Amino acid sequence: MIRFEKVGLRYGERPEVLRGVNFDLSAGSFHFLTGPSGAGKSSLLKLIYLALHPTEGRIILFGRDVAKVPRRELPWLRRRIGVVFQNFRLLGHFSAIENVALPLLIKGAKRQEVETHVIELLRWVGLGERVAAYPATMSDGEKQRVAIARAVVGRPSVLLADEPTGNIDPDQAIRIVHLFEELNKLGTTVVIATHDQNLIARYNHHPVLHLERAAVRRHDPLSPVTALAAAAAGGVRSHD
Amino acid sequence: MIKRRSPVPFERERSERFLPFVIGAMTFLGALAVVLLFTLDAAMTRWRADLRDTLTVQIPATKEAGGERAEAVLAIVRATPGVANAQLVTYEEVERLLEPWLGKGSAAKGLPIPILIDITRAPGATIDRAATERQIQKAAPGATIEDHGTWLNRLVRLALSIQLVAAAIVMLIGAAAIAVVVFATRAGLAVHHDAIEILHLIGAQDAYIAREFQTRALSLGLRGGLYGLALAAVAIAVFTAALPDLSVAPAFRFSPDGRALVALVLLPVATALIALLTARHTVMRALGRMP
Ligand SMILES: Nc1ncnc2c1ncn2[C@@H]1O[C@H](COP(=O)(O)OP(=O)(O)O)[C@@H](O)[C@H]1O
Ligand SMILES: [Mg+2]
Repeated sequence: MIRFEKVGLRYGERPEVLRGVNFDLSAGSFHFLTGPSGAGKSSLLKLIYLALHPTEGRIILFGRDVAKVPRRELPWLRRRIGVVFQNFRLLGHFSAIENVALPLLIKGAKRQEVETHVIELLRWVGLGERVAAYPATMSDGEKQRVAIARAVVGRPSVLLADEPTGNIDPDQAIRIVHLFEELNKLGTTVVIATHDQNLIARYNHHPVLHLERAAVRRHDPLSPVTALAAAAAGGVRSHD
Repeated sequence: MIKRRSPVPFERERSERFLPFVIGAMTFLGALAVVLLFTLDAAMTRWRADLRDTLTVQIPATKEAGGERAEAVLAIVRATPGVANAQLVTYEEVERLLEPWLGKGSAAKGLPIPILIDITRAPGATIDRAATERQIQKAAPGATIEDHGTWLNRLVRLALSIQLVAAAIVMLIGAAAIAVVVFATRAGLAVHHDAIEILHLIGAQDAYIAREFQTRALSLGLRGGLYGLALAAVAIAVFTAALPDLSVAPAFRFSPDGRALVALVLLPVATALIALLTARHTVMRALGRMP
């Protein structure tokens, strides 16, 4: 579903952020992407959601080499990937329902047609009472849930989240990971980037992609402790 | 609950509100240039129709009465090939022509007033002006024959060059309008970068994002165009009202002929379309640089 082949990334003339990264995430999988701050987690997600092009290697999404997809077809790929951005990135002048409806509206859906569905989704994330609220009046936990609802409203096959538990209290965080697990049970491929080791330890039944020194190491969910210890030793370039 | 509004928060941004005023000022100048263009065009058409087929013979005034000489010249002229009609301009008519300059009354009586003969050329015919002049000079020394064509040509050339300048002004204004819209759109792209990026990343096509900007530009452009046109209408009304008092030739008065009105009405539409296309092009180019 998402395959990286010897992917390298650098910003301008700076040192490589990613080097020779290989992995293959199968459809319906659930991964944590971890690594210290600045390791390149956000950058790796951006490569998947097509906000960046790799400087080297190939990225294969839904069986298509991204580099060979004509630019005007990229929106269709993006619509199959839901993203919960760091800092939510909601539109400030749009209410919760409008923010969540946006991915449907840009596809040409009529406002009245999507309203019921969007309200239902907001109820699912626990914001049934906050449908008409504006981001400025919401707590970070509420904004995060609006962002999640927006990410999944178009029924994407892949859901990416960048530090989704970053600014919120532990109770909210558990609630949010629970939402991701529910979506994953429905078949969505999930990748959550986080540097929160407690969170990963708590959900240690999911495999972990560990990012350090520009390379990715994949850890078996059955031995998370050893995996983390190996990761902490660091610097091991690896394959999938 | 889902309101009909743009995902790009234009209303929150004050910086582009100057656009209708700038475009308004441009449309105003453009409208005046267009009026000038068409007024001159109409005037030229009128001059051509009035003067193309007329010549004037002028017999200088002498001490003695000129009746005999006038009759002789008239006979020669009437016999000249190509002349459809020749008529002595009566003393009363000359007096009336001179009245605006010399005032009412018989002020002209004491002046040496030349004798004038109006000639109408047969349609399509040519008159050998030089030969005819030599002929009439035998009967009336010093008599001249004037072809209005030469004078008309000079006038037309002058009018054409003014029209050219007016057209250049219209084009210059169009170019300036494009530049202004480009800058305003670029500023908008920078200000609304966040909203644009969000739209882009959730899968909006470039054309969708551009549509938001072009709709906005269309509305601002149309508003500006209408401001400018309204202002131009007031200015033209004032000019038209003021002109008779200045006793400028009626040719320079704005007579709203159909084409001019159509051009004036189309002006704000054209302005709005220029704004729309410019904004679209600017946004599409900027988005094309995004991955
Ligand atoms: N737009 C950018 N331009 C230049 N350098 C960047 C940019 N984004 C990230 N980086 C650099 O790339 C590295 C990885 O950043 P990032 O992907 O945000 O890491 P993480 O999400 O793991 O904290 C950092 O050193 C960061 O400074
Ligand atoms: Mg990050």
